Amino acid sequence: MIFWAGAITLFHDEVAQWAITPHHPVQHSQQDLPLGSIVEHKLAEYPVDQDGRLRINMPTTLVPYYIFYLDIIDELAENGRQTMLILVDPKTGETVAGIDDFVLSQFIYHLHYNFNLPGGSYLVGIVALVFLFALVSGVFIHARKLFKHFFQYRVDKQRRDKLLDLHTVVGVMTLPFTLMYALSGLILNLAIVFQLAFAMFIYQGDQQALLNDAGFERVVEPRSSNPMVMDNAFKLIEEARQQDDFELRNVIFHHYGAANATVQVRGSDTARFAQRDEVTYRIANGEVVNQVNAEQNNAFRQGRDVFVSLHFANFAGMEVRMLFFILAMAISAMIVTGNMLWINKRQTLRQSSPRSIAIASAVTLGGCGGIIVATAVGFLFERLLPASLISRGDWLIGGFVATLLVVIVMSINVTNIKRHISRLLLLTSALLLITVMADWLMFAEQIITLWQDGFTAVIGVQVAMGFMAAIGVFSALKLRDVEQANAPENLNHPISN
Amino acid sequence: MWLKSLAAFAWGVLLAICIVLLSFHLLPFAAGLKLFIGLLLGFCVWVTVMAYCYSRNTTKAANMVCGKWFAVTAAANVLLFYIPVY
Repeated sequence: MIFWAGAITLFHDEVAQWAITPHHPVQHSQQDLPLGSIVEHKLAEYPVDQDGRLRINMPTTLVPYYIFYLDIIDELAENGRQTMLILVDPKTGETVAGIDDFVLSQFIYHLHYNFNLPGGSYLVGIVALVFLFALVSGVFIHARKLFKHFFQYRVDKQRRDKLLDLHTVVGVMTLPFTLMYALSGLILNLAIVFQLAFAMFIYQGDQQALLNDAGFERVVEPRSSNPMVMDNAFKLIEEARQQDDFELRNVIFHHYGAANATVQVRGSDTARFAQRDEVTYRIANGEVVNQVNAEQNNAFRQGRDVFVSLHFANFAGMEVRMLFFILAMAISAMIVTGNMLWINKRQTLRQSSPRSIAIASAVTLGGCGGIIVATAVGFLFERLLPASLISRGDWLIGGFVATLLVVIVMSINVTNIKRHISRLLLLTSALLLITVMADWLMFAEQIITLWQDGFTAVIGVQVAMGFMAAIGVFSALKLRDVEQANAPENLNHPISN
Repeated sequence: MWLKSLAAFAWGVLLAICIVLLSFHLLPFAAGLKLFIGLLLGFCVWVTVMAYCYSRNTTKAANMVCGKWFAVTAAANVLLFYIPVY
């Protein structure tokens, strides 16, 4: 589930463009409004907490809207405020949508790193630890045959050999990639263990001193009661934007509108690999409070950024992300075959309970098949649900989770596994094709205009869905052929067929 | 198997923390670099200890060896804490 969701998350922004832009196309020919006036309007429009921070993500070629992170007063929230995300059209300054309205790409991303559960990121961290352990133990088990059987895949032997070969071939070939993913996943999700140890035993409980040494310096000071006009902040942002080899990604204001306001201008150095470029200005006088770039860097932050860039494959173009996508899919297959091998082995043991095997089979089959069908349902809901529907995101998540559960329940005590997988693949393909058809029936004109304006990801995602549907139909037909070829021996052998 | 898994996980994290803290005290690098080395080293030690625990025939055998290593590394940490690094 984590790898599947992670593979799709590689195209997070493409999916977001596919979901949002047909509903809210941006007028390409129109000039952008000044950021300062948009910010003033938004702050007047919402009950913003003055003590909170204000973050603005810049429009990109894929997601052509500002994303505002506003700290809104909410008396029901634990600390009296909650962060609200809105998408703002840079041409008109209008709020296009709340980010929760088009939730698919974010939902799949959250599924990847925290299962959308409280504390889920630690759970995913533990999964990453077990994954790294499985890789290390797999290398030990396979070490003697690592080079001898590097390309071995026996198609003419019995089924167990095929599964084993698929598991080992994918495992060996993707080893550097999987090691990188396991380690970067651990750094992103389970670093808290060592952070606590360092804070407690080395820094005597001073978390901020630890964060400063790790390159996450922060200016902490109370808000001044004297107000100040923020025009200088937008001049500083514009100056930063004009720098060579700098791509502005977002800005963060602290104490917006107060005399001691600061603005953090964050982006990346396009001439270097995984190089963050950040500067914090005191808005009143333009003084540089803190700076991170190629010359002034911190080893911890730099190392972490390298792993993050590798993890998200955002250091290169679409081709590298497609390669990462294929590898991630292959690893998902490796994990499933590993599970099936384990279940097969348990079936041969006398002391193993049939009930536990049935549960493991249902979770493997239902969970893996279910996540594929549920993803297709998610795409269909994202396209079909009206943009103005209240709690639109909740409907989508509900549809996704319900589909997953239904498939898991349907996968209990399945007697003919191949037929079951074949049906799930055909269902997925049908859902994806319906989604593409719905795209054109609902937004044909907008899609063509978007293509002409250079927003090619909408049709790109449709092509990807069509391609996945074709693979699904092809695999389903193949499975049916195999099933028909050895029909009499198939029945009553859960998972082993 | 469950007991062995629990022991592997617990000894893994305890030994990893001890060794990471030791490395921070002993390495002659800047704090940021030591933190990064510590983070990578910590996860590698954790997984190595888990693999070692699973390779033992019984949980008791794993506990004996890991317990000794924990005593040594923890003692070294306690002694080094008296040398001010800050």
